[in-house]
Amino acid sequence: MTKLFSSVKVLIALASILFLYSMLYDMFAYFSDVSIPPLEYLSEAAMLIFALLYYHILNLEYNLQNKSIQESLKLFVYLLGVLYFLVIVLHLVLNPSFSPGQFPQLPETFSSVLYSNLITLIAILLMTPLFLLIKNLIYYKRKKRTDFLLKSFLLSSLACAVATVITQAEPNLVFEEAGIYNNSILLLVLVCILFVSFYNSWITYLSRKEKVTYFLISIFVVWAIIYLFEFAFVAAVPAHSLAIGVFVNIVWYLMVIYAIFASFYLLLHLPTARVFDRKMSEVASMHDLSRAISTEFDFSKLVKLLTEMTTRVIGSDSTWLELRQKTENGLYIASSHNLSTDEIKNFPASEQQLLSSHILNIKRPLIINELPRNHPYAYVKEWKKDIGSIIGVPLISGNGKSLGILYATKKQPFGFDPDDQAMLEAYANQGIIALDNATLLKQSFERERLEEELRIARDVQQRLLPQTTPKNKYIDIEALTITAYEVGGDYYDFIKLPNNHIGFIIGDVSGKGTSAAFYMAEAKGIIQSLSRSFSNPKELLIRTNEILYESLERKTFISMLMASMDCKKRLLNFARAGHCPLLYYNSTDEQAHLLQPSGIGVGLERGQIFNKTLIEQEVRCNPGDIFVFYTDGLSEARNAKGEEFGDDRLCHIVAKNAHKSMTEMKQIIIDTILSFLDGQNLADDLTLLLVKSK
Amino acid sequence: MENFEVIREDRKDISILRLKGFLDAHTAPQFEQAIQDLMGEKRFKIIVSMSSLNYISSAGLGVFMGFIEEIRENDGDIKLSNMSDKVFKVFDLLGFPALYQIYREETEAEAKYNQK
Repeated sequence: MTKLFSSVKVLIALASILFLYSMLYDMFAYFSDVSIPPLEYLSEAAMLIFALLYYHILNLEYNLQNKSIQESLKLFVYLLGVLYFLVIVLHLVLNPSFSPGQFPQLPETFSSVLYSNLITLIAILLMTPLFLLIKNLIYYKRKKRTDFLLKSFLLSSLACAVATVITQAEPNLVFEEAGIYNNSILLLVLVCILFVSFYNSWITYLSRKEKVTYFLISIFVVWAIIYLFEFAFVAAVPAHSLAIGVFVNIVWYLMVIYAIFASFYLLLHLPTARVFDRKMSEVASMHDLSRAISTEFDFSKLVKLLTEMTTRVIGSDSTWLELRQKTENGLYIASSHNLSTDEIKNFPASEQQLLSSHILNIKRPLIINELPRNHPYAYVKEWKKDIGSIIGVPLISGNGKSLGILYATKKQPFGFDPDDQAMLEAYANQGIIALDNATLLKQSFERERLEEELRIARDVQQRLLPQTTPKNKYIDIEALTITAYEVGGDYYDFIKLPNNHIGFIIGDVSGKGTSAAFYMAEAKGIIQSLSRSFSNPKELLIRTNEILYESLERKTFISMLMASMDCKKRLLNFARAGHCPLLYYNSTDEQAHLLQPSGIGVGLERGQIFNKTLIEQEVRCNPGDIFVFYTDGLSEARNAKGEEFGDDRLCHIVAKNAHKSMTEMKQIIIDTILSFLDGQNLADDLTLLLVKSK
Repeated sequence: MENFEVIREDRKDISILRLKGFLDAHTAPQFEQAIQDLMGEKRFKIIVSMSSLNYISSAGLGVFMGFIEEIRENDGDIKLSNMSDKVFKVFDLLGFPALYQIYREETEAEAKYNQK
């Protein structure tokens, strides 16, 4: 059954049959001058069903609901025109006449019968979509009540039609005799119509141009609608079908009343149309701005976006954004729209930026709507000639700091009103938030990047240091490194050399951070491989310097101290390339000495001076002697008073605790340093190698 | 951040840079800029006077190393003078006396330039 109803062809066929029956009955009634009530009613029913079928077909084939307001109005006027056209043509061709004075009027000629049938057909075919189009307008802002009203309207129209058919009374709002029934219902219908006629909120959202145009057109349309019923339908439709006559009449009432209301509303909206348009575009542009800047984190792109969008919204002739200089006083132009290159070049210096300073002072927007010669800020016209009016809005960040000013100018004076100021302020506020965010984000990325770099450097450093200290029966070795926060370039290593020799290396790369750590890695690699061929400290250092001089930056150098100890023979040879002296505690004289043979740092010079100045020194040691290798992080450790820890203090501690094991000595030194620092941070990494001859 | 200042005095074709305060990684760029300015003006006869210098770190020492080659290629030099004992110790440890001419007084350094 539903399939039947959804097949349009079937429905059209069915509808045509119904209409044909109705038309044939009319002709029969005319020629025979006889009326058979049951068939009469059947004819009415047929027409009703025809109308319903048509409505259904219309819904299936054309979706009028999806049409926009503008499209609906256009189609409405078009259909109205078509209606008039067809009626006029038929009128001319068929020249109908109807008997006045009774209801319904009867056709006087056969062509009048034809006429009334065709007019009824046309009425159904065109008034239905016209009704649906008005329904679109009513449903623009749909509420629950809208559905209720429309349903009431349709039901009461049906009731009125039925009542009219049964009572054969004229629906002319005269409440006497039989007419009391259908006219009361008609009154109800009119009340519904009155209510729905207030549903014209579609008018509010038209553009100003549309409001004016539609108002002017509506004057003609209202007139055309009013005249329509009298002209086309009043006699012809009831002559054929009372039910359809009632429907057409009611739809006509709806069209008239709704059109009059709409026309009136359009008129009322005209004075505020311009401002309304502007407000709508302001809202839209605020959305645009929010959307655009919330996805932009690049500072330079943000400032461009701000000036571009401001120009678009406020319709300024020129717009620019002034921001505070980072290090100096005064403002610079961060971005601009429609400023000539000359104007940008000739931007006033900070001392001359009187207007901007003033605005930053008062922290409020300023509109200057005319700039006569004696105006205190007339100087801006010297800089930019075409300023008729100018507005400047300060950008004030969340913490109250003023970051800059957003300017807009117009060529004519009195170009800005309070609305413009409000708009610009809103824009400036949005802009400031976005700019703040962009800055914070950048700083946070920066910070993260730095911290990551430090982490890597420290990681590298850790890996470079030996994980164990060598142990043998001749010497006691302990190592200690305390890293500063900013990674330094300290490094030490033990090298196994042939003939029971042990190599000690301690070094310090100048500079900090990842580059220091990487240079250290390189140095370690070089030394480790060179030590396979050279066991003599001076030679090793000379070769190391040769290689490293090529790869180190000019500004970078490494101080190193290299020692080779013959444990069995108790002989220590060492060379000092620019490093801290070697602390040697002599158990015999119970004194700590600082040995500082000459030698320049690695990487300072290609080799001639390096080789010439480097001296290798030999120390013969006895049991109980102690060697301390250290870096300047120790001697330069500062306490809160600014005092340096110094070599002497170290000498003192070593001498005092020389009899202890190196493990104990290490702990004592740590404790002493920490208590000396008393909470202060180390400026540089601190490294200690303790070697005691057993 | 510690305070640091470079005061420049030009005497004919010699420029004296007097360092004041703490020269470390933070303040080294100022010193660098001063030397770069001199080089930009083709003034290659430089004396760095350190009587008011309280502290110098490896970063500070690196500044000298960064420019000395080019300055010497241009027939100039950086002569050092007026070091306090503490500051001299730092230079001495690294071996700078073998690489640079160090004088007690500015005048001695000037005289050395004028000798040529």
